[in-house]
Amino acid sequence: MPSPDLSRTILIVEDHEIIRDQIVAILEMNGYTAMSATNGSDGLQLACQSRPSLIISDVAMPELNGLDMLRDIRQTPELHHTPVVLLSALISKEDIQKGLELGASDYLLKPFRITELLQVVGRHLQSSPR
Amino acid sequence: MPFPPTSLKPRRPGRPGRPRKFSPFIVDKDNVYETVVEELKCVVFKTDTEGRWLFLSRAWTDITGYSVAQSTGQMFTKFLYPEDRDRVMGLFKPLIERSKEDCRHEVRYMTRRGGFRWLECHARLALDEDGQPDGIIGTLTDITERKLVELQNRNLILAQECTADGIALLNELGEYTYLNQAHVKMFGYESAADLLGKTWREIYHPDEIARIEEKVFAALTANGSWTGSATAKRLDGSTFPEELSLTLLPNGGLVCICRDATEKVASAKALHASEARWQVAVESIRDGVWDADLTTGAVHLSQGWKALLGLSDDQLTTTWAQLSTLMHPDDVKDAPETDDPHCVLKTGNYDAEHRMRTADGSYRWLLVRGKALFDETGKPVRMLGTAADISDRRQVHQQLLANLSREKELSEMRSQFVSMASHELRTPLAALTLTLEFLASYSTKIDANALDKGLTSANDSARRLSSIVDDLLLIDRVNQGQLNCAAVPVNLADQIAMLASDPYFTDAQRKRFVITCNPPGLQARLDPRLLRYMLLNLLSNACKYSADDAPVILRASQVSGAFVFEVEDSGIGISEADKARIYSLFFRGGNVGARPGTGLGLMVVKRCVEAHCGTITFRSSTGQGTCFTITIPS
Repeated sequence: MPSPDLSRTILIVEDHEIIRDQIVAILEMNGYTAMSATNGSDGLQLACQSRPSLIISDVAMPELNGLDMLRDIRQTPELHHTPVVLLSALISKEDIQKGLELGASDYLLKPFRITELLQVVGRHLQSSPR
Repeated sequence: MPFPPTSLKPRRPGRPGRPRKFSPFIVDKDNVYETVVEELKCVVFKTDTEGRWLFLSRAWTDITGYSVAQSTGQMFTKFLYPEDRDRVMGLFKPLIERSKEDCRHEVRYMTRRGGFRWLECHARLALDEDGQPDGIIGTLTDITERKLVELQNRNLILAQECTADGIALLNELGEYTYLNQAHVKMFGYESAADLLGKTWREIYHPDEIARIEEKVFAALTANGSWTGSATAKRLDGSTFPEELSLTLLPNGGLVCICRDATEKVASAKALHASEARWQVAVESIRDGVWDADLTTGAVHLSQGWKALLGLSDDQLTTTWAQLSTLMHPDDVKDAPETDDPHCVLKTGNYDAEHRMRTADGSYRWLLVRGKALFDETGKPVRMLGTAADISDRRQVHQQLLANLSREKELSEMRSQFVSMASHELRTPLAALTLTLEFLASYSTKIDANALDKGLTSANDSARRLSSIVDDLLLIDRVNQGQLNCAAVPVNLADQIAMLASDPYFTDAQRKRFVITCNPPGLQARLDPRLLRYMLLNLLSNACKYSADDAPVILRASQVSGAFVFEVEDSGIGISEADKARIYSLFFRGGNVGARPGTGLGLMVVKRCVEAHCGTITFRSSTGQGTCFTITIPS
């Protein structure tokens, strides 16, 4: 397991309550500071306010979906370089390609293991040019 | 006194050819001779022994145009037509040699205008008082008109001999007086002499003779002429068809013109046979044949059209415009224009499929093909073609297209279904595996509350998975057409009570249910498994889309014999835009927010209702709630 960097904050955007709560709990267990939102709109707002080091977002969500939120993030100067990991049950090549083209840093497929989650988090926090 | 008198002076000038009256004052004999000679139409002449004109009467000028004064003293040979000079000199020789007393011949003399005239010369040797030759005297008579007629007659006979038609003249007894060579050869004879003097009966068999005498002569007598056909007989006894034209002459004779019609009859027979074969072919095929005159718009249809469209015999002769009225309005644009068929005939071919109305008003699909015939200017003037009934083929084609479209739709739906099913399963599966892995990994680090919460989450995710799998299996059965209604007698109150205590619902949800069954002991014949699914889905939706403490009402009743189930909530409602699509596969309302769901439930509910031959309706207002009503006939 990678060494946690406690100085960094991670935003979880996920409409599924159990998944959202579990990710938050896992990240906190591993020393990260986690905050969460239940849809893209709230997530974007929270990201602008908190300037997280990493955003992990579901794709299919009400209000504003993960892809639209990603597009908005990439167009927001203060969030432009923030790594965004998409988390989705949409596993087709087209869906993954679409997310990467919009600027996703990574694409995590549901269901996923805790180690996968932590590896992705560690990788992007280390490479983040904050 | 010698004739003509040598003392005659040149005649007085006068208008040529104009007759003069005798003068009552002419009394002496010389004057009488002079006057007579000068009035003669023929030339009276005298030459000397060398052949020089000594005397020419006035008619010389009338005939040749040369004046007497200029001609006198000139050699007569100078005036002869060059080609005739040698011949004439030869004719005069016996006269000069006194072996003949006179001579008569026809000779051409040149005219002053450069032409010639035919003159008949009658000459004799003139003797002096001593009986010695003194020259030649004679007359020259203009026979030009007669010679022209003779020439024309010769040409006419020549033409008759050259023509391929047989020409014959018969006298009043029916005997041949003239036959041209074609006539002679046509009947197998060598020479006209073989038939001259014989009657026409010589060249016909007795039966034909009887027919001609009875019918042809009757018409000939009545009309003066007759044209028709006959069977003629050659010299060798063989027969041949002839075209015959007979004309009565005023003297009772007959002009006969005949022609060997063997080839013509053979051609006509061949043509007739060909047309008969074509006609048989046209009438024997099931297709309709059409023949359009593009210049008039007239169209002739074969008998096949009667079977194609149920047309009557009268309708087989029609016009392009009338035929177009039978065409399906949607297909008219593809057909040749009625007013200007030429515009679509640039290629000369017409090939289209369109519907045409039959006698009973229904439409049949026809494959119509045609080919244009052009005149020498390249303008299409006629079009021939066929029409075949392809209704069956079109029906199969349409069915195939529909099947293909349905297959494509199903394929896309299956693909979408698999994709969505995968997505819907993966989300609760992710929640379940994540929770279980979390509990396993951090069991020593979490407290009892977190453990309890984790286990509850795992249980919820598992139940959610189970529900989705149930929905998917049911949908699969619906798609496979295997959703059968196994109706059995059930007590509705008992069924609803079981439903209310179903572990699918949480305790909090159960507390919200307001259930009525009227009458309480209502008995129905339903499939309990499908009934559970229907009501479970509607109750679950009502809970999910309304406030956590809001009541959810379920009413079961019997109205007019039908069983009615109503599930009502006071939740978010369904927007007007979504109302038409709520039974679609995977459709979810735009206002559901983060509430979990697959978009499968209502579709499956509808299928379950339909399996009972029932109906499902709803009334809903956004923000006020929704009430679904299921009606199942008893």
